[in-house]
Amino acid sequence: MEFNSKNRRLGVLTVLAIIIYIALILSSFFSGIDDFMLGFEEGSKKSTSMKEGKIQTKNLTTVYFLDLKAKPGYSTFPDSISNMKGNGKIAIRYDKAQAHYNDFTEKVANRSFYDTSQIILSLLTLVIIAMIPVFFIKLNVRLKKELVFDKRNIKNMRCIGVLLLLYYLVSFLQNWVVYSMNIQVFEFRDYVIQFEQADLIWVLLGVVVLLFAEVLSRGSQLKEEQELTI
Amino acid sequence: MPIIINLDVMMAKRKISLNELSERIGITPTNLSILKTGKAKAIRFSTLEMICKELDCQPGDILEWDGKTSEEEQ
Repeated sequence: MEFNSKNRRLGVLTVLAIIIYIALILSSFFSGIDDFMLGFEEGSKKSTSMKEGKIQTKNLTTVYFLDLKAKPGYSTFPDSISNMKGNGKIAIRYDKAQAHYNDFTEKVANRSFYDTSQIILSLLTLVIIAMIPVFFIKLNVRLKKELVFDKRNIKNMRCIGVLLLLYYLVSFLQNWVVYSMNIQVFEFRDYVIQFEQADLIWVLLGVVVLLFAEVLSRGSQLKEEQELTI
Repeated sequence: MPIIINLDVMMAKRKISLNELSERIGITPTNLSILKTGKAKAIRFSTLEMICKELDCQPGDILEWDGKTSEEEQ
C-alpha cells in the first residue's frame, strides 16, 4: 500500500514537472513568436529578391531587437505615444524596440561572424532543451524501480545540473552577441542600448540540482556501508 | 584495511565449511564470504557473538589489527 502511494506521488510529481517544463518552453516560444515571424519574413523576402535577381537594396532590411534605457536618468520620457482613451499624446519611454535597418547597402563589419555564432548558439540551446527531459525521464524510470541511491541516478542528476548551467552560459553568450551587433550598428540620441542579462534562475536551478546529486552520492555511500555491514 | 579478518583460519581449525557455518549462524553464504574476504565495512556485535559461539573462540581470534597498514593509509 505504502509502495503504491509513494509510486503515485512520484508519478504525479513527474507529470507535474514535465507539464511545467513544456509550459516554460512554450511560453518562451510564444512570447518570441512575433519576433521570430518578423525575422523569418524579412529573411525570406531578402532571399526571394536575391534569387529573382531583383535586388532592391533600398527595400532590404534586417530586424534588430534592442534593449533600451532612456538617457540621462530613470525619470526621463523622451518619446510620446497617442492614448486613445485619454487626451492626445502622453510621454513614454521604451525598454525594448525592433529596428528595421538597411544593412545591405551599409555593410556591417563581422556580420557573418555574428550570424554564424547565433546559429551555433541557437542549435546548442535546442540540444540542451532536448537533453534535459531525457535525463529527467531516465532518472524517474530508475526511481520508480526503487533504485534511489544508484550511481546512474547520481550521474543523471549531475548531467541535468550541468545542462542547466550550460543553458545560462549559452543564453549569456547569445545576448552578448546580439548586444555587440547592436552597438556596432546603432547609437541613439535619447537611449542607451542595454546588455540583456540572462536569467540567473537557471544558475540557481543548476546549482541546486548539483547539490542534490552530492546528497544522493553521500546517500549511496551510506547505503553501500550499510549493505556491507554483516 | 588495517583490521584483518582471520575467519578462514578459525574455520580451518574447527574444520567447518562456509556453507555450514552460514547455516548455523543464519547469515547468507554471500555475506559470510564478504566478511571472510575482508570486504565488509562493519560487523554487528550480534553477528560476532554468533560466530564466536559456533567456532568456540574469542573476538580477538577472528579480528586482528595491522598497525603498519593503518600508518600507511594515514
